[in-house]
Amino acid sequence: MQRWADSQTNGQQTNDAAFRFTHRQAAWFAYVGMLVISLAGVLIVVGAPWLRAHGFEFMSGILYDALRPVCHQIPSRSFHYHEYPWALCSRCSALLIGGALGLLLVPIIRSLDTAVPKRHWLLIAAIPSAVDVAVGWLGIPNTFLSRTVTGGLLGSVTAFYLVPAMVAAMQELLVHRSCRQEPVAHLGQ
Amino acid sequence: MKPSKVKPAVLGGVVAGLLSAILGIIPFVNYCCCLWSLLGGVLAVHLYNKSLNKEGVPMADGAICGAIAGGIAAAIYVVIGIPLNIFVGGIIVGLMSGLADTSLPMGHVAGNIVSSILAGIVFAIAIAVLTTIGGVIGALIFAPKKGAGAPPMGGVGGPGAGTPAGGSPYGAPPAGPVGGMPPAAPPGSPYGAAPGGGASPGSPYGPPGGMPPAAPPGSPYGAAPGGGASPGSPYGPPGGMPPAAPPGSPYGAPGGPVPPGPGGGFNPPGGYNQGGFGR
Repeated sequence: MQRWADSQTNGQQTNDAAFRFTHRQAAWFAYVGMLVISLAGVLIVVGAPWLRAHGFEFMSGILYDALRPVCHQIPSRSFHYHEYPWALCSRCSALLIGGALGLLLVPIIRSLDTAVPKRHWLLIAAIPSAVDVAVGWLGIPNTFLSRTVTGGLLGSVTAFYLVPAMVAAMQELLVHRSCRQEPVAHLGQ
Repeated sequence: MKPSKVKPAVLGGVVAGLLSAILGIIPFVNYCCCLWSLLGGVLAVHLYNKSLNKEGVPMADGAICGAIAGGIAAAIYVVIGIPLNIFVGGIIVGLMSGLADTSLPMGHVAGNIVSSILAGIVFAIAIAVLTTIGGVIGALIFAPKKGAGAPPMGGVGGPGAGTPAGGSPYGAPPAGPVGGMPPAAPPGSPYGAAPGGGASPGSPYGPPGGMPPAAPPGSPYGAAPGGGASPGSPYGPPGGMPPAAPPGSPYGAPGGPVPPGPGGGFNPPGGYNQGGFGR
């Protein structure tokens, strides 16, 4: 039984020549996909001022416009590259970069195919950010540092939930469902 | 049979797309655009969960729901949101140029329109990604109850988190022919498996009584007596599959020990569906 299970999980073909994802491959597929999307987001945010600083005004404008619906893009609340603000404010940038850093940390601190952490940790991580936003709405000034730190904390913790969730989803899609379909295919022959 | 995911996903996608497109032009409200996309994914999963009688949504189904909703939301944003942005942007530019009593060159206006279209496409992709993430978050919120066909949460080869020790993390075996394929097919059936996994009498897939009883030792493909792989085969232990999974096996315990048949054949004793991935 263990050998049969190993053959299912370790990438050996079992009884046909058709390629079948293993748990590990599906996990890395999900992880690399998330990492690529996350880094693409960071590139867009940092790339907008970089392009503007290097004279690519049109391309830079597209990136700024693309992110305008999700963020106020107030220059005084944003990081800058040379004298040009990033395409997202400091809180949103920290969320995104924190998420990317969290993604990088997940396989180091935990493993890809680990269980989703308990939900209360996500709520605890969201409290500082929520308080910071609420304080801002109430008119009490928050600082650049508080916005950045709270956003980064929430982003990095969120990665620890999204990775196992997406990995489980991808494993379910690519590994388990193809296994489940096998008996049906044999019955239907 | 599971209900379709398309209807809840379309509803979630329409809500996310319309809110992102229409509210996107209102200052301050549009900063919640991320939230609309995430909410659309969560809504799609919530509606799908309702159609499942609140049994809970597995992670994969949540991701699929979110992805479909994201695709629809992105399409709606491209169709409605981009023209709306160009229109509103044109009005604002027209007003400003009217106030300043200047007229913008045609090339500048065309460049703005092209820029708006490309930016809208980039944002539509972001909407699709965010709505998919919303679907995954929805699956986290509306997760199946523990021990009731819970999705795999555990690691590879380990016991699933949140499942009873020794239990299958993939849920209960199906209510069908637990323990594998039906033991016998009607005589003459061209498809059924005979006891022991051999083909039925008259079956075109093997001689009555099953496949040849033994393969040469070391053969990587042949079946050993009892349906197991031959010694040295990478496809299973000699003598057939063990009757029970060890506690904590990710594949669960088989539906019941099935005595190994005499003839080997297509199906391992216990069948392919060894109490494993069924729900």
